[in-house]
Amino acid sequence: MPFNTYSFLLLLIPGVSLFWALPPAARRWYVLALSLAYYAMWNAAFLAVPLLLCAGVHLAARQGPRCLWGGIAFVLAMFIVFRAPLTATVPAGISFYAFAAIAYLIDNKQGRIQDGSFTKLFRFVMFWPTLIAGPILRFRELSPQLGFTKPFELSMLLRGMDRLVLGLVQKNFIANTLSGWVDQGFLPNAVRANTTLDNWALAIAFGLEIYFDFAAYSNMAIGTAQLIGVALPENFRFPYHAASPPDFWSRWHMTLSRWVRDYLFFPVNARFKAAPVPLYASLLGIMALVGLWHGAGWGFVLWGAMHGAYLTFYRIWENLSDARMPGLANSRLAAWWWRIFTLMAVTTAWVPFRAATGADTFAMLASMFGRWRFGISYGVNFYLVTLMVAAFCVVEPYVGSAWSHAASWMEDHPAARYLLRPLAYAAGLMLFLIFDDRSKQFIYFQF
Amino acid sequence: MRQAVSSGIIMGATLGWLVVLFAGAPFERINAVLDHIFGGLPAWTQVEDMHRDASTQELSRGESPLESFRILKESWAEHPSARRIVLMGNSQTQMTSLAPGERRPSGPEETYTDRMADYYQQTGRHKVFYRLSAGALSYQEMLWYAAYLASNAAIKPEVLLVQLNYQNFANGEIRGGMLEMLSDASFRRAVQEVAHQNRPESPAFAEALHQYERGRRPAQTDAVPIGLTPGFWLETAFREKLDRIPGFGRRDGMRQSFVFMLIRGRTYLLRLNPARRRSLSGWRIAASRAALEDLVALCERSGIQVILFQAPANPAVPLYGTSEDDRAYHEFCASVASRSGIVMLDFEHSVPAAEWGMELNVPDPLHLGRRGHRLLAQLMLSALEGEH
Repeated sequence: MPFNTYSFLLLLIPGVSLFWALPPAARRWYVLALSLAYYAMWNAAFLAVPLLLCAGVHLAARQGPRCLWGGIAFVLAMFIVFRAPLTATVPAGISFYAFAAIAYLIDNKQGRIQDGSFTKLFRFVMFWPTLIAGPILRFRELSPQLGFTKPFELSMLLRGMDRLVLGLVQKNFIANTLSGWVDQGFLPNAVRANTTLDNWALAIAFGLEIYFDFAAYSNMAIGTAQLIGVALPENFRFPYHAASPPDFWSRWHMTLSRWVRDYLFFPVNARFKAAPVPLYASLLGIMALVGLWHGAGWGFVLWGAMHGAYLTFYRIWENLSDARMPGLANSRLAAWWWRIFTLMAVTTAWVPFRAATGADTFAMLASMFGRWRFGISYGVNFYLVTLMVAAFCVVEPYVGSAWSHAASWMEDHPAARYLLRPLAYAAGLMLFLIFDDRSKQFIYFQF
Repeated sequence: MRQAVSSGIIMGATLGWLVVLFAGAPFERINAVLDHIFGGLPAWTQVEDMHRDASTQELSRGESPLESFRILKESWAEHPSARRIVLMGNSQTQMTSLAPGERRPSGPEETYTDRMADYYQQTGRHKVFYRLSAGALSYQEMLWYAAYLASNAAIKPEVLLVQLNYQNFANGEIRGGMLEMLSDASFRRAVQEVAHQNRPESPAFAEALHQYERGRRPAQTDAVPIGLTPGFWLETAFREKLDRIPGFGRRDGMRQSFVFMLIRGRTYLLRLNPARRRSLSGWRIAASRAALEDLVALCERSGIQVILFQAPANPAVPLYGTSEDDRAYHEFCASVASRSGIVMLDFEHSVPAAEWGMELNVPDPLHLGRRGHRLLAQLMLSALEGEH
């Protein structure tokens, strides 16, 4: 029951209404019950998986810091068992809640978990807005909010609706529209016969599709949580506006980046601070692991390794330019170069991520970077729509800021609040409904 | 309490606006305004009330052809000795776009294929005619249909008229509505054969088989078996209920209007009309060519006479990107015909520009007006005389 289904949206209204009608103490159990019911909608039998995982993590955490590695090994073992290619079906969301569980264990070792009762851990892991595809949370940022002591405020509903409707439009109107062309263009035969322009357009289109698809999911998760007064961290911040590879990772899947930074990069960085080569190698290795997290496919690993290489390249540049060419490092030319490089590099890395096979990846990359063939193979609509969505990406921060201004203006004008804001919601819901395609799943549900 | 009431008002107003938007058909209105500003022709020139006859046409237009085949089987069973002719083509065979000066329709309009069917009906049932068309029918889909007809004796034709059209070579894939045909085991085997042959069109067939299998087990991703879940069934139940709400079923129509709005923007503002001259390249043209060759070979093996005909093209709308595209296309079509020793009729330049419809405010590249259909029917019937 993904967020963009009719059943979810229609059940959300009575679900949220009842939540606010209950006393705070009952809300905790009500949300847990909703979370269990929500997870059971995927596969009731798999309810045992997060339960078992939480039990193992809780036991390990209770043993104190010395059981950290045992706990992590337990979580990783469950993750590997269920994500192995031989497994017919995968418990929904395991990639996400396994990360949250590992973070819990490390935070516990570092003394950041004050009250680590099993029920609190279970409620944290099972919190339904984030259960299936993140954002990946830390116990200490979510758990205090799961007491649900805040009184209802209209602003919660409005902020929640803003994000929910935005996500619905991003998913159905933008991501689904692009996915039809992307799916065709990445078919094995298509890849080999595409022209250079086709392949660049497809790589860009997929980059846009996966961004709007995943940002849509994150917006809906944030919006849904907001409806019950829970503030979740942002997961995307206009990633294609990134000024450098590290900047991209501070804007893309931000909660995963944060997790990798805090629980992998920082410890490794501390160890290899004075030894650049092992540091760069570990950077590559960590990013390859991030790729592997998406699935047991070498395309994901290559995607991660490419990002590792971009980050390494940038770090080398930073070290060299700071030491030898400080003027150039701060120049506008360098800033533009890195901006363009980042955009092209990120787009290029989407090719192995999406292509079906290694041969397809290399055929596509060869066509994009050397074996040039001219012409277009698809209807002009594909190129126009991709261009329009890319143009929207460029102006997206300004649209967001304009909406914030308009929203605060509407707050001060009741007529606008009760007429214009609902009109904006209705327009978004109309686009969601008319572009609805039940067969299109969220891409990140696969991971 | 006040905040709760405010929330209720906002949710209620949202629902109210949604109803207003659905009832108000905003995109249709925007389209009408754009047409008015940029001089687009009135909507009635794109004729919607077309002649329908289940015994001579596949009425679902590729969206659900099995029922049509069932009717065809019954219809042809009534004329066991008649020579069976099937024509496969794209929307040109099933649509009328009135030419400037042609009067508003007063009843159902007939295309040239309907006129051909009428003619064969009137000449004593020695020949029965059937149109198997769909908008943008790809050559992979023509091969798909041909394989189905060849594997079903009750609807297997003696003559197959195959429309050749430059733009159609850019189309690919098998549309979802045609997947139901895979419920026929012998046809499924034929499709599996094509899918495993490593021909350029094989991936489209393999993908169709994959989609069909997925459809039988309701939709699922690699990771989360949505189709087997309680959530799937709950969603299905919700959708069934919602579809019964008056007006909710207009979603598809609204989406079409939205798409047409974008097409208008493209045509009026960017001057990129849908049939802009272009060069075809890439895998689709390779797959289309291979599918056409395989269709001819399949019919040869199955004892079906194939007649290729070059569809008329509007002289006011150049289709070929370059003269080389024009030459290569015609050489390919001629080579398919000559290699197999089959007839190819050329109607490409047979209908003058004045007999074609208009699309928005530019000449329609594909669809004939009333007189154009009449003329083409005459030309085809006389050219076919003696060919089958």
